[in-house]
Amino acid sequence: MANRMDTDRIVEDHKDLVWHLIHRTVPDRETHEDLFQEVFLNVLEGLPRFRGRSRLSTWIWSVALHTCLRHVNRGRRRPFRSLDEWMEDAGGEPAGGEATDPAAGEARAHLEAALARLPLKQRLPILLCHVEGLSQREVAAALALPLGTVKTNVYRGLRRLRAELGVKADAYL
Amino acid sequence: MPICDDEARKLDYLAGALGDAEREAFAAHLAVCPACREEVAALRAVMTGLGGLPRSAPPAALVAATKARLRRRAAPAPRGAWLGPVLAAAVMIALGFLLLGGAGEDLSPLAGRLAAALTPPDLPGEQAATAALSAEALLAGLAMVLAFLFLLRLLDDLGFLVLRRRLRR
Repeated sequence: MANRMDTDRIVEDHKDLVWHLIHRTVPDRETHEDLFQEVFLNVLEGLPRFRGRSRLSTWIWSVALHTCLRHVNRGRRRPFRSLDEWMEDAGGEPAGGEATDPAAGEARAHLEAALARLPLKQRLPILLCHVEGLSQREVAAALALPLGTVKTNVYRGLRRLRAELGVKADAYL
Repeated sequence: MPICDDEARKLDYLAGALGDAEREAFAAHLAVCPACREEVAALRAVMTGLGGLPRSAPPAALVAATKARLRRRAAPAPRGAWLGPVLAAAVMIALGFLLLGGAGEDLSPLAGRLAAALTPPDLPGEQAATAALSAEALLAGLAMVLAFLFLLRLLDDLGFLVLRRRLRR
């Protein structure tokens, strides 16, 4: 069982990662704080089963993802959906909803909105690779998908973002 | 597969995941293919934009509450914590047997005295006996319920139940 220092460090090191995932996958903002705690309780419970085959952050991200999925299923009256089915969902409105600093530029607000509209199967790997900085292999492990599938989803998601935004090469430079 | 259609290779190039030879070959292709050059540049711009998205932090109070909750959960049960519930359960079960002792025949002495204290003295003999039996059954049932609750608590302490976790939420 993890001791006090371990649990504090686990929360401290992964709080942003978990918070971002919840914000970008669960639209119901009122549940975000409960979900945040639930994720870390699940992490603590599952820790004895973590074998170190992936990085701890990748595994925690995976736990967070499945916690969010269970939450989404709990709130539904329709039949249970698997991770695959959930990821096939069309995107919605931006879940994060953080006030964007006007000085940061309109382009970023558009990008945030376009990202939120991506289907989860493209949004999740893009978030992990290009917002959270995980490698493609780590993303494949976290999502339990073949590496080739992750690459395809990331690439198509990026192209879709580009098409939606009409991105020029120097748009964000 | 033509390089222009190789999505994985473009992505690996952008991610810096190609080996030296492959990277040089792809760069040479970009030098002669304006469509790929333009696409790669635009995708790189999207990636740069994604990397610069604002990242909100969870509220400090939430982080502190989560840490405290995990600490409580991770703390090992005090040594011998199971002893109290075990003794209490044993006492309750023994009490139950004591009260039920002689059921079907005469009242057990303890239940008899309790029933006598609880029932009015001027009841006819048959009604007094019925009241005493009811009192005995009530006390025995109460003892059993308490024993069951202590047993639940003990199982939870030993980690066989998730009762406390649910209650803590």
